[in-house]
Amino acid sequence: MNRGRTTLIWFGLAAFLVLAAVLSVAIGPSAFSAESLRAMLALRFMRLTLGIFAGGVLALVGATLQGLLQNPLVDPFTLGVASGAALGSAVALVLGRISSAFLPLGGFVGALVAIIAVYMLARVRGRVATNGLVLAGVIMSFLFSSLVMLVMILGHRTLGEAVYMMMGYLGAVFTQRSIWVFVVAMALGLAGCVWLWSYSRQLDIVSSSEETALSLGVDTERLTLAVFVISSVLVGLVVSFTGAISFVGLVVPHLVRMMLGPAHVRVLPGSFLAGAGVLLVSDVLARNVVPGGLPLSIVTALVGVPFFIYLLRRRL
Amino acid sequence: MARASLLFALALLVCGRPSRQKPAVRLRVVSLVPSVTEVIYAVGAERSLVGSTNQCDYPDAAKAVYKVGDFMDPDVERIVALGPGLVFATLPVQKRLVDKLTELKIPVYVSRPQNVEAVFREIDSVGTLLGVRARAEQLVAAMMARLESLPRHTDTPRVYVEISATPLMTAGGHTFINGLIERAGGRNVFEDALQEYPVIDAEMVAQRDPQAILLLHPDVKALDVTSRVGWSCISAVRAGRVYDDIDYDLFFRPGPRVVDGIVLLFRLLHPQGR
Repeated sequence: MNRGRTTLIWFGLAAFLVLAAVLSVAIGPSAFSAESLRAMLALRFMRLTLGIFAGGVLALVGATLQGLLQNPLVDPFTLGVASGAALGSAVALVLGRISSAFLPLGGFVGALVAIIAVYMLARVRGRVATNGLVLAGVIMSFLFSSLVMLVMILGHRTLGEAVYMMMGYLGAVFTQRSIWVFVVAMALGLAGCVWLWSYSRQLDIVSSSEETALSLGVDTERLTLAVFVISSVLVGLVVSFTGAISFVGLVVPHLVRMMLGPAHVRVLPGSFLAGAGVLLVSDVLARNVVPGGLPLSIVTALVGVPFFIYLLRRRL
Repeated sequence: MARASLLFALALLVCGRPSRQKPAVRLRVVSLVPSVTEVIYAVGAERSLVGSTNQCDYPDAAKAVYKVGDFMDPDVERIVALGPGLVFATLPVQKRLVDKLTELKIPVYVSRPQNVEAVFREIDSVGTLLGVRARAEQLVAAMMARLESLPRHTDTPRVYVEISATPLMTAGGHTFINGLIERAGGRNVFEDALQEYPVIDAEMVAQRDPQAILLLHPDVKALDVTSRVGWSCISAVRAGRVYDDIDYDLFFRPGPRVVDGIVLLFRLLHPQGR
């Protein structure tokens, strides 16, 4: 690939993220006023940080899973990992009202259970079929969404809360205490992203063909396990703060591959940047188009589903 | 419409002969509305009450009444099995049930008072229907007198009511509690909301700068709210006027304790004028 063009694309991705960030801070349901300026900026910067973190991580995890499983249709949402994380967070929420620190932990456990369950379900005689994986993901996703509802009802939570847990939003309110949980989660999350990135070379080999991978000495089982665990931590962390957000992790990696080529060493950081930008723009739409705001997944699904259908049709 | 006129006819029928002696057979009633259950006890007609919901928990004695299910989803079969002469229900949550009971020709009284005056009228009608009209009139008179005795106030503080923290939700202008806030001499900062209980953004709270914050859900304490990132500039937080640990049934149940709710609100909103 032409070096100059690649540089230009990186520059474009960064510029897109900066533009999205500016929009996110500048446009909101309330107008700036002199008295509330500081409060509004603080709140919008929190939202911005959460949006970059969530969008970036979801897209990067989506790109990693697509590469590892050699499957263009998977992402944390279609695999049921996000709803698994939502279930884990919901259980933690209902059981442990004492501390918000347990939510990310619950999210991680839920995500890990989901990804392993889906993988086992889709694995028939040692092989994982592409459509089987997505089918298993969708089935588990239904199950987990229903269980989220059940847990919320049994735990006497409001239905509004259940809806936002399953459809995502960036409006989480942080206190001086819970912001530290978020800071630690973000540090962990970024470390996880770098860790996944360090597998880029192995992911390249696996996504070309599993046989080649074996002959080139890549321990696919170990790689799969490592990616599953790290991805679960990442998705669990994100979902425990934002709820399950759909399709960002599916669409963004494809767009990035079109621009930067298939090498994971570029696709993963590219997906992080683009995912963050896309989520911020989605959030700007979600909170400004309808008074009172919408759950995020309504917006991301409107863009994501047509793209998903396109990918599906192309494979059939 | 047909249903409304049926109810009206029923009410007229009973109201039309108020002063005769008590009926020989006491009316068996089921209350699916916690506030109506409170009214029934307050007017001393609890011996008519044969069924209620799991949420009908005030006064304490109401907990022992036979339960026909949850307020959101009462069990029709259990209601019918009680053979009630009258069922108290509310809309819109119990819409399907009301239709079903009407179909089964079981008389239904739809309780939906939107403001304090409507609560007074409802106490009167419930008392009349259950043959304890005099008690009901006494109760209403006492409640009105208490409202009248509230001291004058000069300020109208801006109030933010929080009913959920994740997502942030408040009560809009078309809610019962909004009327109570106005009665208590406050102004709901989200009175312009289109929905009854809208989801809102933290920045909308910051911009509207409430002078008092009422936490009407169990998830957060006043201390958590004062330590929220970006909330420190809000007048209520700066003045330490964030109130938790409030018995919010007083605000959400349009029943005999509604004046208690207004008095409590009045004290919270005008702490100096006590």
